Amino acid sequence: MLMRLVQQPTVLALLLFVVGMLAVATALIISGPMLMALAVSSMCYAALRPTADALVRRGLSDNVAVGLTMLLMMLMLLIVFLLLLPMLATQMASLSARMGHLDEQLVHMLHQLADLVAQYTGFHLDTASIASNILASLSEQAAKLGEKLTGWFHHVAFSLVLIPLLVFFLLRDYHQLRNEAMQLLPNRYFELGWLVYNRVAAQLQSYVRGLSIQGMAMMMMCTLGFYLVGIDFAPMLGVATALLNLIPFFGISLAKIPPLLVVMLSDDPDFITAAMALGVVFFAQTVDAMLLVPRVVARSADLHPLTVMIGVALAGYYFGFFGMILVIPVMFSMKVVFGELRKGLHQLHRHAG
Amino acid sequence: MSHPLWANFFRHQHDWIHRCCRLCENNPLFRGIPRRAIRWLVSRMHVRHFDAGETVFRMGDPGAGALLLLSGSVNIIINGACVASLHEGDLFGEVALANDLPRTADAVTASPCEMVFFLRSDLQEWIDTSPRQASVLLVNLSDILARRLMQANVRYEQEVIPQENSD
Repeated sequence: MLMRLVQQPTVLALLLFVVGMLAVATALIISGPMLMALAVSSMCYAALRPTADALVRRGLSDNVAVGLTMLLMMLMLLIVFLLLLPMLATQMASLSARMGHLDEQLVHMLHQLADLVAQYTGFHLDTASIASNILASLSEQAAKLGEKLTGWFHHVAFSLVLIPLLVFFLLRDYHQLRNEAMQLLPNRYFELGWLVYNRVAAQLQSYVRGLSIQGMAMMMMCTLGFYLVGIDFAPMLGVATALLNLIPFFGISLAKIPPLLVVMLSDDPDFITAAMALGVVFFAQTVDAMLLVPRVVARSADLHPLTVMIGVALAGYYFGFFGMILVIPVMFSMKVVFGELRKGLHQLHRHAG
Repeated sequence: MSHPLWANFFRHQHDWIHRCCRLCENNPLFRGIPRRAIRWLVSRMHVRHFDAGETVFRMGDPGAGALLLLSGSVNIIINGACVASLHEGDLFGEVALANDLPRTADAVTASPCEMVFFLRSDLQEWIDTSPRQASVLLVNLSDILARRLMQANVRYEQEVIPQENSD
C-alpha cells in the first residue's frame, strides 16, 4: 500500500523535492559563514562566463581562456580600486566628520518641518522630545551596527581572498563538477534530471540578467537624479539605493534611507532637499515598477506576492542582506524543480504503465 | 614512479573519450566536422552503463538528447515489435537534438551496454561557442531526419496504403 503510494508520480515528486530541499537547506546552513563569498562568486562566474566563452570561440584552450579572463578581472578591479579608493576615503572621512553634528542637524530639520506643519495646519510639534527619542534610538542602533560592522569587515577580508579562487575554479571546473553530480542519477532519471536542470538554469540566467539590468538602470537614474538635485556623494548613493532596491518587497522602503541620511548629514540640511531626494528615488522606483520589473524580472519569477513577502522576511532573518536578494531565485527554482519533476515523472509513469 | 598523482591531476583523460571520438568520426552526423571540434564536443558528453534488458527510454518519454552506442546492442521497439537492432557506433534518439518532442519508440538493451548521451543543451552550448562548425552538424542532422521521413513515407506507401485499399 505504502509502496504503491510512493510510486505515484506526484507523491514521488514531492518526496524527491523534500529530500532535495533538505539537502539544500543543510548545505546552506553548513556554508553559512561563506554564503556571501559563494553568492558573489556565483554572480562573478555568471558575469565572466561569456568572456571566457568568447575567448574559447577565438581558438584559445579552456585553461588559457579562464586564465586570461581572471587576469582581465583582476586588472579591472585593480584599476577601479586605484581610482575609487582615494575618492571613497575622502568621502568616508567627510561623512564621519559630519556624523558628529547629526543631533544638531536633526533638530534643525525638525524645526523646519515643525514650522511648515504649523504654517499649513496650525498644529505644533514637540521637536525637542521627538529629536531626543530619535537620537536615543539612533545611538542604540549605531552601537549594534558598530559591533556588526567589525565582524562584517573581517568577513569581507576573508571573502576577498576566497572569491577570486572560487571564481577561478568555477570558471575552470563548473561543467565537470555539474556533470559528475548528474552522473549520480540512476539511468531511468538521467534525461529527466538534465531537463529539470536546463529549465532551472535557463530561468535563473534570465532572472540574473533581468536583475542586473534593473540594478544598472536604478543606479544610473538615482545617480543622475541626486546629482541634478545637488545631493552630495551622488554615485555612492546611487549604488547604495540600487542595491537596496534589489531586495524584493522591503527594498522599496529601504532604498529611501541612504539619501535621507546623507541629506541629514549635509552642511545645510533642509526639508525641501530631503523631499527632493525622496522624489528622485520615488521617480526611479516608479520607472522600475512600470517598465523594468514587468519586462525583465517578473516574467522569470512568477511567484505570489505573499510567498515573496514571507520568503524575503525569513531569508533576511536567517541569512541577512544576501539572503534577501537570493531568496527569489531560490524560491522560483524550487517551484520549477517541483513542477518539472512532477511533469516528467507523470510522463515516465504513464508510459511505464 | 611512472604515474605520479600530480601527472594526471590537471589533465584527466578517460578511455571512453578516445573510443567515442573514433566512432563519431565515422558517424554521418559528424561528417565534415574537424577532429579537434569532435574531441571538444565528446569531452562534454556523458557516458552511462546499462545492464542487459534495461530500458533506455520509452515511447513518449521526454528526450534530452541523442545516444551513441560505445559497446553492446540496443533494440528499438514500436508497439511490442522490434524495428531495429543497433550496435557499436550507432547513434539513436537524434530527434531529441532538434526539439524537446517525446521519444517515438522504446529502446531496450539486448546486452550490457556502454553509451554516451549527446545532450541538446551541450549542442546548444556548442552552437553558441562555434556557430559555423555547429551549423555543419545541424545540416547533417536535418539530412538524417529528412532521409528518415522519406523512408517512413515510402514504408507508408508500400505497406499501409495497399492494406487500406484491400480493406
